[in-house]
Amino acid sequence: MQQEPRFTEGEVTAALGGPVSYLGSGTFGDTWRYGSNAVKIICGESPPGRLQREVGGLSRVSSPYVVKLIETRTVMLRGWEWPALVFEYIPGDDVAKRIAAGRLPSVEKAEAFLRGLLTGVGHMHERVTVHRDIKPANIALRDDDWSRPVLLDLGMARGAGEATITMNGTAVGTMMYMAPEVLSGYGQRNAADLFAVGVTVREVLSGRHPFCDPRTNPTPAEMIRLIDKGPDRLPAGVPARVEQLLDRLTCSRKASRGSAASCLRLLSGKEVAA
Amino acid sequence: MTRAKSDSDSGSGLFPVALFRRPRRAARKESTRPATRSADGASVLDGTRPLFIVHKPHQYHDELPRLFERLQADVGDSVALGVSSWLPSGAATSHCEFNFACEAADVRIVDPRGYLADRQDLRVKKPSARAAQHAPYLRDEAFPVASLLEAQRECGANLLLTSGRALNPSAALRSLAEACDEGDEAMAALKQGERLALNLTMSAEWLRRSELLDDLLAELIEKRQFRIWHVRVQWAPPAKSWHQPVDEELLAGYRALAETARNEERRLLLPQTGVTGWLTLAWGAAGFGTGLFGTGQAFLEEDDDSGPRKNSTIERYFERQLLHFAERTGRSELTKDQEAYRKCTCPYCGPLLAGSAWSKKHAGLHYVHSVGMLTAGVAPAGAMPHEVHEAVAGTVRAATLFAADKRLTGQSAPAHLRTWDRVL
Repeated sequence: MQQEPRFTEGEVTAALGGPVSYLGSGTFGDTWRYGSNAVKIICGESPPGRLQREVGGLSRVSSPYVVKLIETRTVMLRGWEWPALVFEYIPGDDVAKRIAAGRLPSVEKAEAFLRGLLTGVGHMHERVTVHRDIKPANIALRDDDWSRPVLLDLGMARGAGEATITMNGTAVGTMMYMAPEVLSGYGQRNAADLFAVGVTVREVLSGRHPFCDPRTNPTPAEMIRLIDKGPDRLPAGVPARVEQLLDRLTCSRKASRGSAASCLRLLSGKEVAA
Repeated sequence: MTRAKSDSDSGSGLFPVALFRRPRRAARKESTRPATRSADGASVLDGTRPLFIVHKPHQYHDELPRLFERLQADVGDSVALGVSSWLPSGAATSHCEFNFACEAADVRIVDPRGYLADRQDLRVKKPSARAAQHAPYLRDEAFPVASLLEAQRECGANLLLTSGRALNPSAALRSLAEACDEGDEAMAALKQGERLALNLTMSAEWLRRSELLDDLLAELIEKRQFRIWHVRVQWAPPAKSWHQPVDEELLAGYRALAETARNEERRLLLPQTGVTGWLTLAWGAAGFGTGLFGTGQAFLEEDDDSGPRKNSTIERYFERQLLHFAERTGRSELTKDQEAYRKCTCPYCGPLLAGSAWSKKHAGLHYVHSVGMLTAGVAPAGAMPHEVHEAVAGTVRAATLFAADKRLTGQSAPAHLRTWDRVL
């Protein structure tokens, strides 16, 4: 993730016509707070159609667990018109920052976080939209509340019938959160989002990635082997049904993960097959 | 299906005119469609009670209406009843007449059996000229989905199926995608209130090989628009219709399929599975099919040289207590223990066991009635999944105990019980 904005605060303030504050940067652009909104200026290298995909994904889904798109616009900066997306501003940290700072939730709050994520993913999947890049940095906590996660950055999202996005012939997404079938070229479908939810929640519970130390930069083949070996044990105190669900979500076999809806039923303790 | 679908769904000329004629006896009905116990047969697929499907036999199908009435009286509302006939096996008038007669059946299926055109993926006989006459799509490369649905309606079906083309294991993802595309096309062609089942046919390899099973289940989970799965799996030798499969990999595949259906709140129907279909109720199947004779009891491999089944003359009696067929000559081994043996009281056993002449018809009717009773016994209305599982497991355990001290040999030995006890 790029840490420095591409434009200065003064430039963006002038372009938007009011005071702004810098929120963060990603591969494809910078995000600024502007009033009660967040404005994402698409100014990085971006695969063709990415903006349309993000807009398409967001307009299909209406959920308190998925960031709300208010409008699309352009912003004039340094003589160029840059496309921009105006979102609701989500007050609160993103999950990556919380993990990095060691500010982890209690087991109960982690369970609520899992429920919120599954609900958001379920809302996306109901609208036949796959997020394809779920990871801690793409999840905000509304009002810093673990039970109110909000999925951000639907730039990779894909609806039914849309072409698969690849860059340089490889799958798009973030490798440390990619499902094994994606790493082996199967394609990113609903089950891959659920795998990423499972990895993220395990990381939130233990404070570390469940399969490896990301600094070791494993290759996709190594990553698949690590996933096949199974995740690290969860900390003590995690309820059995949560552990069972997280085991399902991070399973190599995509069908074992089920759907977001059946995962929510399992989490609620409704009787389903073991 | 890409490989089979026509760009146009008009289908004009693809079905003979006679197919759409109203049956002569239909004049006594107000509607051109058969009556049902429930409004559209749909409520029986809500998962509250199992669906027991009886496949229409070539012989003695006139007996089925009375069998259904009897079953209805004996099982009450705890089991929904279904009847399934094969679209290529007769003209629409004949199907419709039959379906009218089976008023007690909640669900009526007229199966297109599209897999008969896929002899590269399954071991099936070449369709006869007569079958191709009734189902011209078996000759043609194009499968017009709308016409296929209309043909089923005209035959009196109230649960419509997609074509049931065979899945190709060497192009698994493409094959699954084609089946689902066909399903989407069929969904778009449904009329108000109609129900559709995604009709899949496959070799046992699909349930036995973990990667194929994973692809199959992942596709079914993702395609949430298909609420009912009608899945037919061809059993490889040495499977026999009177011997249940003991292949643990196959059974594990059935288990994964049924559990997935239950977890995802879909309805899994397993036609042509007989007592093995009954077993899958424990894991979450919503229904299964069987029949008076071999073809309805199991979907087995066959080829063009297959004649009548070699053992068809052997007199086999279905022992409900044993969950198995015992040869008539060896039944005394079971009946001699009068305290433990429970005599069947169905209306077919009287004429079947009274004289020395064996009645294949009554043996078949007794079998179907018995399996219906078994179904009612394990899945009372509103039973929780764990209760159904416990009831099936308890019945299998009781059968195992019952068989333990009996000297049953050869085909009469219930070889499947130990395996079933283990996999449950």
